[in-house]
Amino acid sequence: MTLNARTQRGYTAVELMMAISIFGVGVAGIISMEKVTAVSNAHAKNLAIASHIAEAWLDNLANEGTQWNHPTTGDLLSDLNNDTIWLRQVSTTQDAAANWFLPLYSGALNFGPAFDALGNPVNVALNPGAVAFCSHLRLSYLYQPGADGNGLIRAEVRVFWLRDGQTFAGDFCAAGAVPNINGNATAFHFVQKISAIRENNK
Amino acid sequence: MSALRQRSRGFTLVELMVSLMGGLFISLAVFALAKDAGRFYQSETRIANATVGGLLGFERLRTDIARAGLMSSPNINQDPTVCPLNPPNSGWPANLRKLASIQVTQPLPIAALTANGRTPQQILIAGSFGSVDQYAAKPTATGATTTFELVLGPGAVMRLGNGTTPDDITMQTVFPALHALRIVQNGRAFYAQIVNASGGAKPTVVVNSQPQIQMAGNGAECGLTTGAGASMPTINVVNFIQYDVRSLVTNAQTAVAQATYAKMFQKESVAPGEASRTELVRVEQDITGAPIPGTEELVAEYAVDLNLQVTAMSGPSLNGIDPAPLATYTPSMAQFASYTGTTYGTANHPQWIRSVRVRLTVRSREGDRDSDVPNGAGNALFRFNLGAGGGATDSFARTRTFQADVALHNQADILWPPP
Repeated sequence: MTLNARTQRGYTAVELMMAISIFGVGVAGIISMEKVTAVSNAHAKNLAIASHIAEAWLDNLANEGTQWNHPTTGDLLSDLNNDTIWLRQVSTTQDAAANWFLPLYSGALNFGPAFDALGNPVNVALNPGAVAFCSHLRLSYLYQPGADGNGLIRAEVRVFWLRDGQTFAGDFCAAGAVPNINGNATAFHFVQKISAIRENNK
Repeated sequence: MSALRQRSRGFTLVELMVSLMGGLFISLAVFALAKDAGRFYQSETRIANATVGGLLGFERLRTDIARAGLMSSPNINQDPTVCPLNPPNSGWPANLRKLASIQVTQPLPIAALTANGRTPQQILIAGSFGSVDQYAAKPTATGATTTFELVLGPGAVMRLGNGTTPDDITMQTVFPALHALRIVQNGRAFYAQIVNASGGAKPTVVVNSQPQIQMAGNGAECGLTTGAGASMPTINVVNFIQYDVRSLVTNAQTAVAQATYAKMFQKESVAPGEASRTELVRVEQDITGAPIPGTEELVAEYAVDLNLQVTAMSGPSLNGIDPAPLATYTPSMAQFASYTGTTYGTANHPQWIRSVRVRLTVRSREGDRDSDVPNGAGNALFRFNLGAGGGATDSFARTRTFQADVALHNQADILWPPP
């Protein structure tokens, strides 16, 4: 009798709560999957944009390399300092992490370290709120320039942006932030590309 | 007994109503969630498709731009290595007389795009896009035509014939009529129009007299040398590749192509905005500027904007040796046309362009959002209004934008003309 009575009674509040919790866990699973999908899609987009920014940087440095046409046998005066704004920051000590630097913004080229969410170059001084991507350069000599005009610079560029849900104290695209960006893969995604820029010896 | 009866009775009407209502609410919530999740995944798939499709098209465009000017002249009207009988004149085929590595023009507006503030540009790229081979060929002038007989033996010719001499069809495919031929001898370049090619034991390419090739002798400053002892010229084809954003629903190259696209595209009732959809299209032009049948390719679906800027030397070289500083020019700047406009009869200088800044925007297939987002910096598009062209209202497609600077390595250090 007691058994019969037990089987026929209604649900207790605890049972109901458990059922609702299980349902809730299922719903939370679906919603969290949606978030994962949206974040993955956004990441694929950001990765494509960052890759293009890195390639745009290497092509801009190659452009600047055409301005670097001295010293040659005909003119021994190096024009790296006068005719370039980015390549002039080439380091003489090779491959040290500290050599990463924040490149200057060029108004004439409308190109610099910062880019907005669509990959458009941004002048940080005018529009600091728009910065979504930032870039650093590391330049070192593969072949020291001399009278032969065969100077060669190894150009590395890294483009980085905040991971989903991460924050960074202060402006991550400021010159002072460079040491805090080095190796900070917890807060940032990175894309890094390398090329060589030759001296224009024609 | 009494207790048992009480416990085994059925549910009261109130209990039943309460539990039914509860169940109803839960099932409503489940259905709403399922519908929402379905829509969410469909919309995310659409934007992921737009990302991949746009990216592939963008890479194609970038690769073609990077190759601009390959084995060709960046500006035939000022190129000191070109040896014309006369400067290009109105008798020359239209594309050849204004041959330049990069030309940018503004095509006729498209209503659905202008309604979204988009006026995509079109770009014409010239260079050797069919092959990177150059062929040694012996010239013979006969009246108005000049015949170039390919020298058998070098790798390029053997590749053409797959180890033997190339046949007629191979020769006519590699050297098609109505294409530009570039001839280089002793560092001077000559341009001509191909009229025919033939294979067999003596593979030949025939060019006509429009334009006429300058022959050496008679006191001419330069000219093509023929006969015994002359150094062997090399020849290659120069192609003209155009990219633009256009509707293939209404503006495909042929009726057959249009019918094919009509089958590929969705019904307007299924996906609003299909009737006004636009794509990034790559098409090859012949030497007269006419599109070549069968070369039209859909490169990126649902492209809605193509924006081009150039980074170039800001003026003539300072002393004939030092390049002038670089500057970037947008289409709204007065100098833009002096780099990207026609070179025929003008002093425009496309040869000073060092890189092209390309921005391509594609949209997802359907209006997955019901509200707009204001445009970003540089008039960048975040949402595309499908209703603006007269279709669905309050239906905004998401967009993906790809942007890069593409250096023109083939003309990286050109300084001419001298100041």
